Amino acid sequence: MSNGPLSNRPLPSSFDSNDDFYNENGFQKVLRRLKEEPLVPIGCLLTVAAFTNAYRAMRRGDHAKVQKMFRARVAAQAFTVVAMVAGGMYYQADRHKQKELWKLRQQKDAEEKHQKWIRELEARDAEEKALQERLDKRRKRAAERAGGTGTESVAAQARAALRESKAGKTETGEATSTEANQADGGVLGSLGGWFGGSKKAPEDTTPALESKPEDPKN
Amino acid sequence: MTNLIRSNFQDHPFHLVSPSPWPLYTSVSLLNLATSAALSMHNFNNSYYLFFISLILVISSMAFWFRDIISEATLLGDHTLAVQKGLNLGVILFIVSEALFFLAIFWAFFHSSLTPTVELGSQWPPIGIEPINPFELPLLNTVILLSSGATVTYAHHSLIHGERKGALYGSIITILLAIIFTVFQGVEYNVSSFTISDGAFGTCFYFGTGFHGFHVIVGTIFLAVALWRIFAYHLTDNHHVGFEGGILYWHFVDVVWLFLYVSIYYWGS
Repeated sequence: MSNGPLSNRPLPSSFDSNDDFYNENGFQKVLRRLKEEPLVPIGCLLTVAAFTNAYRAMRRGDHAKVQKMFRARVAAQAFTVVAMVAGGMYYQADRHKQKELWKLRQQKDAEEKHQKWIRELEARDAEEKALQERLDKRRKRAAERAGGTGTESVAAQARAALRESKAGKTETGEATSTEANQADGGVLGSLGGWFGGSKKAPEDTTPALESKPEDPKN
Repeated sequence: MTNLIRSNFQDHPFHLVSPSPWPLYTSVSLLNLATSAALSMHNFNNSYYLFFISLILVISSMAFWFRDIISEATLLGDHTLAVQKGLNLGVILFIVSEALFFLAIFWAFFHSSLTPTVELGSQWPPIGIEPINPFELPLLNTVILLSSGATVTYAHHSLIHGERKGALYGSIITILLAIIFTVFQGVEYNVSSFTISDGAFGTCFYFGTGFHGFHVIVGTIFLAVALWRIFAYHLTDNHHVGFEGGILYWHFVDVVWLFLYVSIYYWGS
């Protein structure tokens, strides 16, 4: 009957086609177990009835009846326990299978989640790598432009000159306050044209910005 | 009959109790016990000393009180049939209140277990909890407690038929079985994989079984006192309210165990 490797197949169960069985809530579980083992609740009720009768007999002072009811109580409870053990043995195979199935499903879920995480982390990694690549390309292009000729190279040279002048300013220590740097940015912004439109502009100001924290200490 | 002679008799069957310090002592000690227990549970410095002192006070004032009642019953003849009826009613009301107390515990258990919240993984037993196998030590404990129910019934049977030996041996075996049960519960608590702080499962499990264990200890003392009174010829074949109360209490504790076993150990795992 069996085809395919055994390890790949879920353990067979008599509840395989019954989805309600796997998705039952607490009350349904109790009802099902009441139906599976009706002798257990009956035994419990008998035990309580015997105990109640014992105490009613005791109130009347009927010692013989009390004695009889105590015996009935012990017998009813013994019956309940025997019913429970018998039920446990009778349903043992089923419950074991069900537990194994549950464990397998749990394992599968965990594995799926694990794989999902790996995929997610790989996707993030790829994204990061692509971004890095794009940035590298842009930087390379900018460097090529700086080395080349034409209007683009003129702009790059102008930027380099500005950078030098700013570096000189910081060396002399004249640009003492952050306002000066802010003013530079303002000047760059107000120039418009190449400077205002250039995406490189913020990067060019970085040396000046880096020297900024040192200034107030002087 | 002159008034002088009449004053030596009472024309009613009731016991008009004489002044006694023990009710007041017990009340004050109980108040101390409750407050110092609350302080101890909130880690107040040295409150455990107060807790243990209060516990000793409660136990000793109750012991003195019961000693007085025993002398009233056995030596002074104050416990007429009417008084016995009243005492029986007291025992029964006490057991009914105990049953309602356990009802509350079971309510808590079923409240948590029938519709387990998402924090428990929407399942019972909750995710990560490995419940105790009901067919190992708990089943043995069930059998032990059931046997003690049988032996205590034998002791009762012997007593009402005037067989001293049977009453004594039945009670002794019952008390031994009770002690074995308590020890096994201690073993089970020690080897279980979860604690009282492990969420709703741990709380409900130790709340239920712990209070049951406490009742077993109280029932054991109850039966031990009755055993001593049989041994000391206090109890007769038709006047043994204390013993009968103890037996009824013991059967009650056993019935509670059945419900604990069925719901918490068997269906709850």
